[in-house]
Amino acid sequence: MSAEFWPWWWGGLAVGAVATLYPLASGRLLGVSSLYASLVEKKPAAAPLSELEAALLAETEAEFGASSAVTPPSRARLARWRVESERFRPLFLLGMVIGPLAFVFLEGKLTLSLSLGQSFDARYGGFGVAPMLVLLASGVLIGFGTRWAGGCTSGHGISGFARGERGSLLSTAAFWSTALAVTWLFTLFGRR
Amino acid sequence: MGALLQLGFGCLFGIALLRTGAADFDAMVRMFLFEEAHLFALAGMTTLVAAVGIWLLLRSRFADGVRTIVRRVHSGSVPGGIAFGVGWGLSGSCPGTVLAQLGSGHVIAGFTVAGVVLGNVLFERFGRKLGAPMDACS
Repeated sequence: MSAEFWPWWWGGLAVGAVATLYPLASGRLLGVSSLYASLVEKKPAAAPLSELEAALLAETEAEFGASSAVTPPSRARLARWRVESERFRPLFLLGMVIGPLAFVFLEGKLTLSLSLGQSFDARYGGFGVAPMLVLLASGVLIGFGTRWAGGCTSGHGISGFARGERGSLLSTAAFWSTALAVTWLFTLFGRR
Repeated sequence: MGALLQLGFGCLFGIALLRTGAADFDAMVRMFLFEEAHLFALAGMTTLVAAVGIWLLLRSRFADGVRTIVRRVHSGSVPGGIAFGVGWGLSGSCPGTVLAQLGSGHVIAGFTVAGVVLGNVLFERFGRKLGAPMDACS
């Protein structure tokens, strides 16, 4: 039931605010699929700092000293955190698991479940080998597809879409319409 | 501090996706079957907030050195999107929401997570040849 969810306007503010503020902490627009890339790539995608960032850092250190006792202004501090956070990007993925885990636990509503919901059970007939294999195969399609498209629901759907990027508009249209078609196929064949 | 920021933003994003219903399988089905406007309205509001927010952010002095990429249309835009769409339609998950599903106690989402990581490994191994741009992923 949707009554348990935050209302759309407040939820949209929250998700939009995270997407807006994340670049301040990481130096990049929010995009979850590239964080998986940072997890599996042999070489980190963007180990070299952007020249601007490096210049800003050098300037800051020249002005205030690398270990100045004086608190540098917020801009310089932010720039330094951004540089620091680059190699910790996979921790964002970990946070996406432990955040909800802690939240649900503190609500006192943590129950371990082998289902994703009523519609999931109606569609795949409860827990068994079939749903496990479907989810594994789906995951492969999601992982491979988002990397091939260069983004997912966050990178293309939020960050790119919000900036009106052509590639993001096209990819978002492709994955939304495909997922919609898949859902309707199940319905047409009597599954939810 | 860098590690804490990544972890903290991940926590916030995961909780937001969970509590808005964006990670909910049933809510996704209701959206695609046009039974409920909630997730459509959520996506619209999110896009609006992010559009204004990111526009302002990139013009502020605090965003010096923030990297943006041009997301051009390329050969993988549509086929990659379709492959992802099939996976999304079947599992009710995208790379982000699946982690929130797992964290909120849906242990079975672990299979999807394993698949996403495997898909990424396969892309590193075979997908580069498909001509997807190296730097377009974000």
